[in-house]
Amino acid sequence: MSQVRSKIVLRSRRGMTRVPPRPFAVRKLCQSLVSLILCGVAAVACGQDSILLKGGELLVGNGTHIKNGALLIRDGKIAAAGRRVRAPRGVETVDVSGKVLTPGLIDVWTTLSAAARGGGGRFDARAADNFNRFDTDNLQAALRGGVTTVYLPARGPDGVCGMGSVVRLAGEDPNTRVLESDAALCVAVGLGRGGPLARVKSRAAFRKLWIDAKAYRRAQEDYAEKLTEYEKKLKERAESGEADTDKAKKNADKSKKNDKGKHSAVRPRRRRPPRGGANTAGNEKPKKKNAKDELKKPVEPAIDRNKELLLRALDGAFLVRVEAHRPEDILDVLDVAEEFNLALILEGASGSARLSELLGERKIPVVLPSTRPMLAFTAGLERYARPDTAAILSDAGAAVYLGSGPAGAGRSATRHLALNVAGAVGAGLSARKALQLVTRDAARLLGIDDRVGSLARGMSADVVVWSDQPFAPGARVERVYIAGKEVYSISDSGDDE
Amino acid sequence: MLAALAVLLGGSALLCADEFVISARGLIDAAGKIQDAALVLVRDGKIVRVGGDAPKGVRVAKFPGGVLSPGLIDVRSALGAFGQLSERADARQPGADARAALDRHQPRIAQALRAGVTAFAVLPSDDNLVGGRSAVVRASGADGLPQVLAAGPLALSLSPRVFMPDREPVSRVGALHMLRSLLRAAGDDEDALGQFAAGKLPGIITTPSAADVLAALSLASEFKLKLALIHNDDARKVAAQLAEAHAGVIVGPYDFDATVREATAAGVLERAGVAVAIAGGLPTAAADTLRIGAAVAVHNGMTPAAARRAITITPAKLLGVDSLLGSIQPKHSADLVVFSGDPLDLRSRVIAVFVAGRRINLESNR
Repeated sequence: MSQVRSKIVLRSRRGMTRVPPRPFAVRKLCQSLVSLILCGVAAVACGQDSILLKGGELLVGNGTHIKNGALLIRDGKIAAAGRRVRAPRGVETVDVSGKVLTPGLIDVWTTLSAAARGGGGRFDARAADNFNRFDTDNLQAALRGGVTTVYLPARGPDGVCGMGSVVRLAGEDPNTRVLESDAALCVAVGLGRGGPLARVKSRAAFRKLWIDAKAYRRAQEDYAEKLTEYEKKLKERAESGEADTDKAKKNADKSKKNDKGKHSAVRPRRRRPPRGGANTAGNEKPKKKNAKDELKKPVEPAIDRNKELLLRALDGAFLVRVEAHRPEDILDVLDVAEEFNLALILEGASGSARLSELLGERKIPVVLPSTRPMLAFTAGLERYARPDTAAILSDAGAAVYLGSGPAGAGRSATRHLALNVAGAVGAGLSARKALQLVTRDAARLLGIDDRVGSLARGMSADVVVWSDQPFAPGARVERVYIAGKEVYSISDSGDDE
Repeated sequence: MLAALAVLLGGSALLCADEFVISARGLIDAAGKIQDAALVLVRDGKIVRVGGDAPKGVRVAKFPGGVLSPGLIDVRSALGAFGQLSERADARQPGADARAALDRHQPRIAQALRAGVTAFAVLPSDDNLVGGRSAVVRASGADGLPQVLAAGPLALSLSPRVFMPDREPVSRVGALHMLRSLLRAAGDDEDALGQFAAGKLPGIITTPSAADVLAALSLASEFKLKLALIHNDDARKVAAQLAEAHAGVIVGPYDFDATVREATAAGVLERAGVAVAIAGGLPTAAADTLRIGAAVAVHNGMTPAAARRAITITPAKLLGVDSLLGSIQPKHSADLVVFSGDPLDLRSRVIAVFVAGRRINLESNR
């Protein structure tokens, strides 16, 4: 015991200058200061990730609404949403009493902030790569309209245009921003100029896409079959040949043993017969029976990336969105979709009101743009549109969705998505489902309803705070959160809007 | 005896048909605000009284959930126009009159009417320096066809479209000089240009850029003109001058894809104290263009009251017909629309339309 003590004493004395011991109180103060600072840091860190929005009316996105509710955001997700929410002490609280909270609105078809038409024939060109996230004015305007997520199509004159993407309107990190880079294969049918012949060609081209894709698959399957056969035959031959080669090996070994040091003219034996079927096991002649059926390796069909993509679409890996307007074009597209069992979504579909029954039966989702048909005659495809198409399709039981649609350069109707929906309600669409259409239903259409589209626990915290019911005239967006971060605030924007 | 009875009955039926009461949940007043509990007495196509009780024995058209609005007015349209609305050969067409271009049987007028547009102005197009007189048209007259109410304001333009290489003027400098000469020469003439120069007839001038606006305003102050300006650009630069000159501005038409710059102009101008009208742009616009335009303006900063005025009373003022149209007041024409809610709320629908006291059949043949 004394030895240990002395050891300790020795250690403490060695190399240490004697410092007068601090008074107990000071020491404790220092300790508590340090712990306080650490706690503070932790609290700040927690506070930045946690926000409680308290007192507002929650419109969950699936039709339910909760008056005087609260929403807790933590780590970019909705931790809790409801009438009573338990929040950690000291969490940053935002009083939203009198306001209305909704999920961020989703625009299921828009060319917002899209650079000039890209793609150029590449099936795998992605709309997300075309998205100009520095187009601040338009993006801010969209946030002011309550929109947080958009689907961007790949557009082109005709045929396959590329892959559409789902993108959020803020977020430094591309992983936060891009929700789905390859959400759907975009195809245009009948959009190009030209007379009836051009339109027929366009429709035929659409069918041919899938026929060719299937032929390509068959060719690949054939090749795979032939290859297995070929390898099987090679194996058989090798096995029968191996019996000879084994003998030859024994001879060679013997000869090796006999000819030590001599360079063996015989190549080292390999278990697998080498390619080409040539028998290099010694200088033995190939058996007579092999000489007759010279085995030819089957030629692998060239890889066609475009067709590979189409095959993935056929297998249901992603949706196929087709923009078509004329009723006859739409009918043809529906036929092709049925024939090849495509997961089809119709875009544009100006003339779809006439096909409401069929669309109701087949339950093909239809995405309508916001542009209203003008009274004057127009040579454009919008001339097939009717102001009440959404209501007619909805009444027939078809799945209708409202998006902004393509717009001129630098323009987009995304910022007025809420007005667009209100207008559709005025034209006959069900008022009850209005908000749901651009939140939960839209998320389902795009396949992102596990992440966004409703104010539910576990969802990404994409939340919009409105001054009033979203569709009431004069309602303003006051705050927007994307992935839990405040990306817009009416007080900060401060412009004389 | 029987004949006398028939005459009496017929007579009283006529009287009954000419006088009736509209009652609704709300009414849009001249300030653009929605007042509660509306009652309007109509006689012989004119509004006699607003408010009070329904007199006995008078038919009441009840709209318990409805909001009564003045009929919507498209202040800048080509609705019903047949053919071109401008003369190519000469940029000065003071004598031209848009009434000549009106095709009363144009079915699109009925479509617009069913959306609540009870009156519209057909303006000569903006590719002439002096385009001629516009026409103010009531969408449905006694015979059910559109009826020209008045020869409207003189149309002028400083748009780049005026400058064609093979005629004068070819530049803005030339254009302003030409306008000044015309106005000085017009003096006290009785024609449209003379009346305009004397400040008796209002004018509507297309001024795309801020510089055009300022040039027009200087012309207006020099000659003491009554001028409304069609301007759709960033209005911040010229808002103060416009307010000072008491000049009205026509913005729009706005659709859902209106740019931020365009759409915020309405609110900017309103806050500066300028009277703003929102154009409809019919027929190259949807039937409900005026309501969409107003809703877009409100979304982008205009107050709801000003937006409701922008598609009713302000157009009437700029067209010089505000003693007859544009607001629900005694002695005004009974051009009324009943909406199922606030007209700015795009969820509301048109329930009933009256033009000069006649109820319009809203069923379409589509």
